[in-house]
This record gives sequence, C-alpha cells and structure tokens, in this order.
Amino acid sequence: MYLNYLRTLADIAAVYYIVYRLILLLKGTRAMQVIWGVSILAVITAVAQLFRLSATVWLMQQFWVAGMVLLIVVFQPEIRFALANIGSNPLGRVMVSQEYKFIGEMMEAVRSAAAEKMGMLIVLEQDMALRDIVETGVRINGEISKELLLTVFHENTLLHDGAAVIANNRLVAAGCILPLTEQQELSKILGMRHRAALGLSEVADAIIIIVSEETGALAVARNGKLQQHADPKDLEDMLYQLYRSKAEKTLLRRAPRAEAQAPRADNQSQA
Amino acid sequence: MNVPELFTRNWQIKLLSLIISLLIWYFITGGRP
Repeated sequence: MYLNYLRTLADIAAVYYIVYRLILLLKGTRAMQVIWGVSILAVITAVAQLFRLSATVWLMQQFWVAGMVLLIVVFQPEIRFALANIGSNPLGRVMVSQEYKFIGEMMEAVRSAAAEKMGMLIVLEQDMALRDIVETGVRINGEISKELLLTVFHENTLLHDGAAVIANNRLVAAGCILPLTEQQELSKILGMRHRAALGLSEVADAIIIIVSEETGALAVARNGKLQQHADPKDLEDMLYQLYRSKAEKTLLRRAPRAEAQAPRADNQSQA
Repeated sequence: MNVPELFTRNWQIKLLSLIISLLIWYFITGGRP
C-alpha cells in the first residue's frame, strides 16, 4: 500500500526533474516559443480526451504523429546540443570550465607583453555583439593561445596596430579599428590605444584590456571608464568571476540582466 | 547553494515543471497510484 504511494511519488519526482531540466535547457532559445505552441496543443488534446471529443482527438493525433517528426528535423541542432550536454555532465559544469580556459592563456600573453612593453589592445565581447568592429579588421576565428596573441601584437606584423576581438572564447578578429573617445580631459600621456579603448567602452558593454607600449602598464576600459595601472592578478580574478557568473546565468537563467550587471561593476572598480 | 535558495530560484519554472509532471502522470496512469 505505502509502497505504491512511494512509487508514485518517485515517479512524479523523476518526471518533474526531467521536465525542469528540459525547460532550463530550452529556455531562451528559439525552441522555447515552439514548446509553448506544442504545450497549448497538448492542453487542447488533453481537454478533448477528457470530454471525449472524438473528431478533435483524431485531428490532434494526426498532428502529433507528423508534428513530432517535423519538430525533430527542425530542432536537430538543439537536440544534439542537449544530448551532448547530458552526456558530458548533468550540470554542464565540465563544459563551462573549459570555456574560460582562454582567460589564463590571454592573461599570460598580457603579462609577457607588459614585461616586454609590447602594445596590446584586446576587446572582450560581452552581451552586445561587435560585428561592426570585427568587420573593420581581419577575421581569424582561432583558438586563443598565448603564442597567437603575442604573434598578433608583435610589432613587425601587419595586424599589431589594431584591436583583437575575443568573443565566444575565440580570437574572432585582429587589426580592428575602434572608435576614438571624445573625452577632452584625457591625459595627454595616453596614446591612441587608450583613446580607442575608452571610445569603444562608451558605446558597447565590452571589456577592453590595454597594455601600454611606452610603459608596459596594464589598463582596463569598461562602461566609459578607464582603470589605469590595473593589477594583472586582480584582472584575471575579475574575469574568471565574471565569466563564471555569466556561464551560470546562461545555465540557470536565474537573474535578470540588470541584477547580474551590478556586481560586475563592483568588480571593475576593484581591478 | 543553500536550501532556501534551492527552492526560491527559478520558482516559476519549478512550479510549471511540477504542474506539467503531474499532468503527465495523471494522463498516463489515469490518476491511480
């Protein structure tokens, strides 16, 4: 008797967990809109069955047979991603930790550039896409490594004068041209590189890392503010924290965008 | 993640999942345990 109830509870709990995970996986993707449509049809089918409306039930059954095949074809990429996600780790953490491996490589490049006084201008794309900026440079779309970044910014190369754009954990383009800032009160010592970084940070939410060619000092620009003489260690910590919280946000979709950005601004002032 | 957070985070989605799972269970078993 009690065993039966227990079994029912376990059954419902398992279904609940699977449904919850599925919604989390699909939320925010274009699949979600379709899911809503399908849910409404499911409700209609259920109501029709409840009231024994034979013709409606028949029509709905025809849809489910044809519709399911259609849905699988249309959402083949999403289904593949979801299955790969389940296979790698139920929480997807393994995937996430690999995703911000690039920060370490990038910071190593930044450190050696600072030590050698090699000018560097790296743009980290955030929520706002930087397609216009990428178009002004040369597309690379390469995996980020210390060597690649140091090569791109080596002064005898064609691309060293512009900015390198990093998006989705890849070096998307190099030699990109950034808009210059209009701020007049900017120190005369700051060169074009800093002005360009500040200029982009005024119009986009990107994080821009600058290594000065003259002093080798590290600076970070964000939200129209320039943080000079930033500590590489602090910057690295801040970036890890930022990307981790971003990954969690994507994974759980728990916080509205405004809430998630507030702590990021605090981190920025610490760096 | 502490316990209260586990219940408050995404509560709308959790509620929706619970309703969906109960519906699924009801239509599969016909409401009999």
